[in-house]
Amino acid sequence: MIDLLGYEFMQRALLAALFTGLAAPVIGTYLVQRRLSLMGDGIGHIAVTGVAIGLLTGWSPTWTAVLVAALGAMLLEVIRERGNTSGDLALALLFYGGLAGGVLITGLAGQSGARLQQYLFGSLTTISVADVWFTMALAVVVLALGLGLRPQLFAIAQDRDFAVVAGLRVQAYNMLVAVLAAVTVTIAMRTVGLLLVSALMVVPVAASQQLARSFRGTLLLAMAFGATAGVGGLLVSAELSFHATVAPGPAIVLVALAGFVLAWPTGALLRRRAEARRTGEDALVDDAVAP
Amino acid sequence: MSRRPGTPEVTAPVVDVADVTVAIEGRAVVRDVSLTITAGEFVVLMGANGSGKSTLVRAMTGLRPVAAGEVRLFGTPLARFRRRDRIGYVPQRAGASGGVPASVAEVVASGRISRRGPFRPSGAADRRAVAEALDVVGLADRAQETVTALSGGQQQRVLIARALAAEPEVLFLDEPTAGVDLPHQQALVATLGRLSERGVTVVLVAHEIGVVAPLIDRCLVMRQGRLVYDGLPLSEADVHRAGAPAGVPLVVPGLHTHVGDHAHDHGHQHEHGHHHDHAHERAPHECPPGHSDVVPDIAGPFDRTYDRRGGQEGSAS
Repeated sequence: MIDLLGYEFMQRALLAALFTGLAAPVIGTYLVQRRLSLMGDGIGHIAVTGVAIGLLTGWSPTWTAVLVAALGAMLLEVIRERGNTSGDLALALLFYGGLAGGVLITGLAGQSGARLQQYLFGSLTTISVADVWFTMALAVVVLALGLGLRPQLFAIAQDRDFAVVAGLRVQAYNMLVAVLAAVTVTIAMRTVGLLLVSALMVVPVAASQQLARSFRGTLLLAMAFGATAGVGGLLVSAELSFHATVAPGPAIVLVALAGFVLAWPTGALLRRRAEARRTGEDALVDDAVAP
Repeated sequence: MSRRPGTPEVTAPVVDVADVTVAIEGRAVVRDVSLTITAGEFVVLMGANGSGKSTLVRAMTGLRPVAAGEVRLFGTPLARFRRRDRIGYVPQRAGASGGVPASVAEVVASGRISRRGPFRPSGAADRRAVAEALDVVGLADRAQETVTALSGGQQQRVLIARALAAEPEVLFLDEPTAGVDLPHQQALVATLGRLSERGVTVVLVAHEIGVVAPLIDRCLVMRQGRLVYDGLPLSEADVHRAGAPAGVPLVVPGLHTHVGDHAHDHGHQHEHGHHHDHAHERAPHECPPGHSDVVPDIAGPFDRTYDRRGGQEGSAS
């Protein structure tokens, strides 16, 4: 284990995994609160086309992925905002269009499926120094906006109408969250891959909301779960790779899921206790209120 | 919240609705409504499901664009109204359950958003206002609990506290007692009474007056998108004496009625004493039955069963 940490590629991978694990659940929390858990997944599919355009044109696939994912996320937001009945269907069309377009364009570019697969399932250990800087810089942007604008984003996600009456520019903030989600997807692309991106955004939140009683608590605990899953999953995969081929992406997601599996019964137990305490209190309150 | 009755800041009315029509998908849901509400009034806006009462209040807060006419708040046209902290809005349903748990204190603190810029950490004034709002609704001891762990009535009071946290001068409440049991309704009424005493203007949308009766200064009744009654709440005795059958204009001397007459004399100042000590008034008040589609016999003034029977007003408004 200690030997592994001496390798430079491993140090780069650990940094990327740590920052991704911290940033992804922040945006994930807002998406889960707005019941858009699968939005990250949709953006991930769209980003596949972005990666393919990068492979075709020779530009950096990371940058083209950010661009295409951000455009796609904004389009999703517009469709969602208009709220017509076919919105759900339109999202599905975008998802599949993104994935199919990506595979098609990769073929046109004369690249093998293996090249695309790096992005679909992550390739943390081949990450370059430039990519690590890119990941860290974008993660810091996501963290700064996601945490700094928490009061505004919370108010909007909690109750849109109330936020409108309070004078918030709801559409602008929602657009910001969509773009941040796209950025997050691109960050996580190198770590867990586009097809598992949503997992790192959502699973830590699912785990932490079993235990937390407040939004702030959920957000911070989800970051802890995410960072643990990122670093832990990478170390597990590195340790196991002496015996078999274990890709870091799936290992990270499975560690995150293990966190949820542990948090669930713990949270249920805590809730049952709190409920027992509350019913006792409520009886007293009702006595006091009743004439 | 800080204003007291009798503060000499008069001039513009709190709410000024002039010839407002609101259309939803091409259908006029509110038609040509005019009314003014002055500082300190406790107004109840009544009507059956689909009468347009919720839509009218949503138009007053800017949630619904008006197709014709104009809404002014504190003398400023709604489109240019920036002092959002002066108004408080309590939505119809306890939509207080997102996909992520939120504590009572967090939801109430989000009410300060109209006073806080982006990237500004909450200050002492924010914390004090949140604590005070929780105190007013009687939930100070539940601040750290998850909102969804509270009963429907308590959740509704959380939403009222959220509106109060901005220390507004006018409070719009859209059926706050829907689905709330009687003891909690009474707790709610006590809260509204305290606010009214402090000089907060209250605009309350309701199916029926019920337990709020002792607080009401003025009653507005809507039917099919039109304002059909605007005046004093009547005592039960008055209603019986008038004995008006449904649809027939009720004329009670001294009352400000608008049946069949939409040329509302705009700018009429509502002049009657704001006696907020209602303890001596034991007689229940009702709005005239002939002018509302309200069925007084429905048990539990804002019972959710009423919604189910009458269809969702929310979908129409």
